[in-house]
Amino acid sequence: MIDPESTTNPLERQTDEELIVGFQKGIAAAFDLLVSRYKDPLTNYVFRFLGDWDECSDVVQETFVRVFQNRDSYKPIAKFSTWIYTIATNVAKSRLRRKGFMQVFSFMSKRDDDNGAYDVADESSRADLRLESSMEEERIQKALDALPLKYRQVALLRDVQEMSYEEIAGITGLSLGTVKSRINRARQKLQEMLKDG
Amino acid sequence: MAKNEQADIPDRLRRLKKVAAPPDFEDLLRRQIRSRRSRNAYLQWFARPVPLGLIVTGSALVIIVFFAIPHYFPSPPSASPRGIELSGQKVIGNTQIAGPPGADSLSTDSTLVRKNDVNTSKMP
Repeated sequence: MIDPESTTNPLERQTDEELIVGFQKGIAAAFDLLVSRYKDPLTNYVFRFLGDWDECSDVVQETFVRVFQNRDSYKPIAKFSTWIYTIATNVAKSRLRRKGFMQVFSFMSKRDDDNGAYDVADESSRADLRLESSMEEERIQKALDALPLKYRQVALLRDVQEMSYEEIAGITGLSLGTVKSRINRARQKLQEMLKDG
Repeated sequence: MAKNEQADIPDRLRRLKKVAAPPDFEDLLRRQIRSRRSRNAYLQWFARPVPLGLIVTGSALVIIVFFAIPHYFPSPPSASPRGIELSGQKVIGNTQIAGPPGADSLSTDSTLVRKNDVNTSKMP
């Protein structure tokens, strides 16, 4: 899928927005390049969001499939990164909802007391990651998993993906002020959880 | 102290190990897109656009046939000259109205015969 001579590929110098426009015009290589640019950041984001490796892989795949299928619905008024992160977040949220729904019906649900988000920490699948994660890393991931979705999303976008407030506002559809206050609240909550642990 | 700890949170999150996509990610994606394409092609065959004229003509034809049938095939007369059988009674003749079981015929020019009264020995 990725051109082995990507270093000499003129597409390489193009921005994401130019690439998606090129893909809309039928340049398949532009999509390959977008996949190679976004597969790792998206995997990282979705994994931290879900805390489940298997689900994460599925969600990222589904995100790219949706980009492929709905390429014509992208309008160059927004940044491509905003668009793709919005799709990934929506897919991840619907997975969590489905998972929560299944858990309720199998009487195995573990509801988060704060806002009804579900705890999706999966120790076994994380072990499969072979990440040699440190104790500290596990603690932080557990705290993230316990964080309500609305806070988890903004905290990850800001502090893990290192996005600007404007980009986060674009992805979440919130005002700049709400984004800032949510990030602040998320950090407070994380600090409380990590202090106890 | 608490403020320092909170300021530390973004730093700790940033230091989290970056998770990368699996090495076969592109292959899996290519396969998935291909399978979706073939499935979509199959679904699109059913959802393909049908000409509007065809729908209108077809519907008009169905309506015409539906309303024309009663004219070409009028409903049968309520009585048969050969007689009809009603709840165990046989009405013979030009009967217009049959009475309830056991009652005499309401018609003047008909002969009501109880089924049990029919002399079957004379029949061929």
